[in-house]
Amino acid sequence: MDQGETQQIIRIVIAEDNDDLRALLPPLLNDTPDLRCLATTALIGEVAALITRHHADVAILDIQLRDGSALKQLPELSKQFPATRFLIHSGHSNPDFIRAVQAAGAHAYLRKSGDIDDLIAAIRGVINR
Amino acid sequence: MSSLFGGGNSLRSKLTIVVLLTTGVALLTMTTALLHRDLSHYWEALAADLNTEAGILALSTAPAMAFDDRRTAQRNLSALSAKPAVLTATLYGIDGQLYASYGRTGAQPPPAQFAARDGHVRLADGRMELTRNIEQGGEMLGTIRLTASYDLWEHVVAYLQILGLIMAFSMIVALILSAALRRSITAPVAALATVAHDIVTRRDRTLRASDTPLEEFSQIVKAFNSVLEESEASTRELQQINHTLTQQIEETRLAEAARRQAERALRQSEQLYRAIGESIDFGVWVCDASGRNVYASDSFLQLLGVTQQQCSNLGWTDLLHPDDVQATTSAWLECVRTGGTWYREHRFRGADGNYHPVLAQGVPTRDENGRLNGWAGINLDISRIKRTEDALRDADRRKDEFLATLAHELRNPLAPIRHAARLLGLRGLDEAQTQAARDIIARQVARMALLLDDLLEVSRITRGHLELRQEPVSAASLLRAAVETTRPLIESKRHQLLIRAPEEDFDIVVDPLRISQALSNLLTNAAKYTDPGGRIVLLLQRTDREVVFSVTDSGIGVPAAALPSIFEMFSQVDSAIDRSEGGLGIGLALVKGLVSMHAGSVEAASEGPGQGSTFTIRLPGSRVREQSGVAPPGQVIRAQQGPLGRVLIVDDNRDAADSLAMVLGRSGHETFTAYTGERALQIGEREHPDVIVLDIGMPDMTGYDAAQRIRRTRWGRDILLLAITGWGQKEDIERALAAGFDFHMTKPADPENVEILLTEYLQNRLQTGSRALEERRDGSR
Repeated sequence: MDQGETQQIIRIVIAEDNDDLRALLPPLLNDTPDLRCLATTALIGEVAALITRHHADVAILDIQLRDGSALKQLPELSKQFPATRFLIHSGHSNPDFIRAVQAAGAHAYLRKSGDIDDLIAAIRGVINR
Repeated sequence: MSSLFGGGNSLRSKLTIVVLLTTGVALLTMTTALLHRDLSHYWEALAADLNTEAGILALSTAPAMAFDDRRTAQRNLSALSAKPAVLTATLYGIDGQLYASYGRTGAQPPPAQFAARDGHVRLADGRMELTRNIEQGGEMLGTIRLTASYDLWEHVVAYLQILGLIMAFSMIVALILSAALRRSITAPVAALATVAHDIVTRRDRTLRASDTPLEEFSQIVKAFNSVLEESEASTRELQQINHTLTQQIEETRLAEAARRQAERALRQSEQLYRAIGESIDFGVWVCDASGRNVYASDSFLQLLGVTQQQCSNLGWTDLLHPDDVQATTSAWLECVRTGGTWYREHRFRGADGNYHPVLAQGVPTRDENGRLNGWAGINLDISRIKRTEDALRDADRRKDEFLATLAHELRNPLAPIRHAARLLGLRGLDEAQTQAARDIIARQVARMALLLDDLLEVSRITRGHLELRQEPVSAASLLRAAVETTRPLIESKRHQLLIRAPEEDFDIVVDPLRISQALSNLLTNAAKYTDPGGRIVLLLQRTDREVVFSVTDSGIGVPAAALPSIFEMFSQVDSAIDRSEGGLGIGLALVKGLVSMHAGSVEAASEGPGQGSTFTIRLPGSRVREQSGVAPPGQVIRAQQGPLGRVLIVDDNRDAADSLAMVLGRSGHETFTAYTGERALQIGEREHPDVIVLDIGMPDMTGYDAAQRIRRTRWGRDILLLAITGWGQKEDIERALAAGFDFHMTKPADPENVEILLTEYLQNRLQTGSRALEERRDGSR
């Protein structure tokens, strides 16, 4: 294992409308040494500000947020934050839906029902890509 | 006489009359001639006799007269007494004076003077009178006059008597002769007449007249018989012809009947096929061997609004949907070329301007030599099938969507649960984080359980397996139960809940569990689909005709287009899905199902998106029962301040019994626990609880047996008995009720439900108890 790479801290913000997930994900991610969840929100409108404020490497976005759809905002966010990796975390599994997500500029798509380890792997995946 | 002569017009009588007349006339002529001759002779003889007598007297008396000797003259006259025929004899002198006379006794006296002519004879008064001169020597001396009886009538009578005898005899002879004649002449005629009469009356052409010895009659009889023979032969011939004709007529009649029968059968067959054709929505069609349409039913022509002429040949293809024209026409020409069967779905433009899906089917028809005659077929209206197909496709699509939603909804709680479980495994967690993780797991599991419960309920309703346990319950208690179930959600979203109910509570016959479930579903929806801090109004109204529950919120509302199908299974308004509140879209279907089972109705109203919505449940007024007591105002939301009771919990699972006892105890109720049936009976005997919650499956005795024994005690007769079973099968419930339980619950027993039932029971008992007390007081006065 290359110690240098693992020492790099991945800065994460989460937009999730489910209160429980919003409460659970940060401590689970933060339990991993190279991951740091810096902020959560239930509103897509706050995502840009959080990325800016926390210099987020990764933004984990749920699709349906309280103030609108993340998919609609994604192209704009991608353009605005080219260095940030966008990971869509959704309950949907429809292939058409996944294709639409990729078309909108997402770097990865992950189903919510997976284990936290899947999410961690996905985060590392988008960073190393 | 008629018998003697026979009938007036008979030959026999005529024959007899001829014989008698001939005989009578002959006799009469002969008698007249004889009489005439005899009378002439009689007159001459009498005149001669008198003349002779007168001559003799003249001679004998002439001397006496000459000598005027009257005596002698008288004597001479008296000698005539020997002549009886002489009546008188008178002598007249020359002077004509009476000289002497003689007369028989009784005879008319002679005239005194008489002028006589010699030899004169005359007849008068039945007498013959003869006068003769008396001469002597040429000298005239006087006249003598003699009268004699001249009885002509007597003579005639004598003659007639003789004649009568002769005639009678002659007639008898004539009759005898006539009879003989009759026998020989009229008998054959009579026999002939009898035969003729018999032939006429008996219509027996075989009769024949018997021959007779009389030649002439024999000829007549032969001629008659010959005529009869000919007649019989003619009759036979006629009969033969007649028979032949009858046979021919019968054959013609049968042929005609057969023809009519065949025509009738053909007509019936035509009617049958026409009826069959007309019973098909768009009737039948016929094409000739070259594939040209020659007939289409009126129903089809009316559908398209065309005439047969317009439809004929390939005219019908002009009326096909533009997208179908090419394919159908080509397929038909190919079918005509190969002489095959026809089966095709296509759309026709109707007279109404719409396109109608039609299934055309047809088969080739061939003559006895197998040569193609053409095609005959039907046009089926498959609009309904198409609609059903669409509906099925729609239902299938909704089912797929539902399954996707279901998977989504079932999976959604998994991530938080999994993450929370993982979190609990981390070291260095503080108490708040641990508690939060536990809460998350509990909440998400509850959510899943709710989902699954709803699913099972809808499934039971759909399959007709859900049974209502209806009883009179207070309307307020229904509101209370619904509110209590949804209160946590409403409070978590900081909604304001207003409850409006009539001042006076009333009972309503429903399954309380199901109606409060329907109400809590509506309240849950209102809470879910209203932004935090919203307003929800739960309204209870009662009219003569119905009881109305309504839930009005200030939430996202319902688009008008979604209103008609909002109570359908798996229907969920898109905007609601976007709200990530989840749900299977079966909550309202469940409400409708439950309310329908109560013969009620449910409806939704909304001014549109963002305008809030109102869901209304209406139950028939016939379900209302007046409460005997008047509930105090404001009781509706007084759930937590109900009366307190004594509860015995019996379960061999000690944890279950203790935890339930703890929860109920915290609400202020006095609780007891027992872990065996026997122990439960002992505690019951000692403590006289208001309620016993009894597990069915216990090692020492079943809950059913325990319930039966409790019901037999004085203290246990009227208490509230709740059964707790693992499965809640219909048989379990029925058996529990039969054993004496009041209610049945599935494991684990929900403390809230136990408390609701307990509160209701205690309130009812208080009311009936106080009423009974008042009645006793009234009685004692």
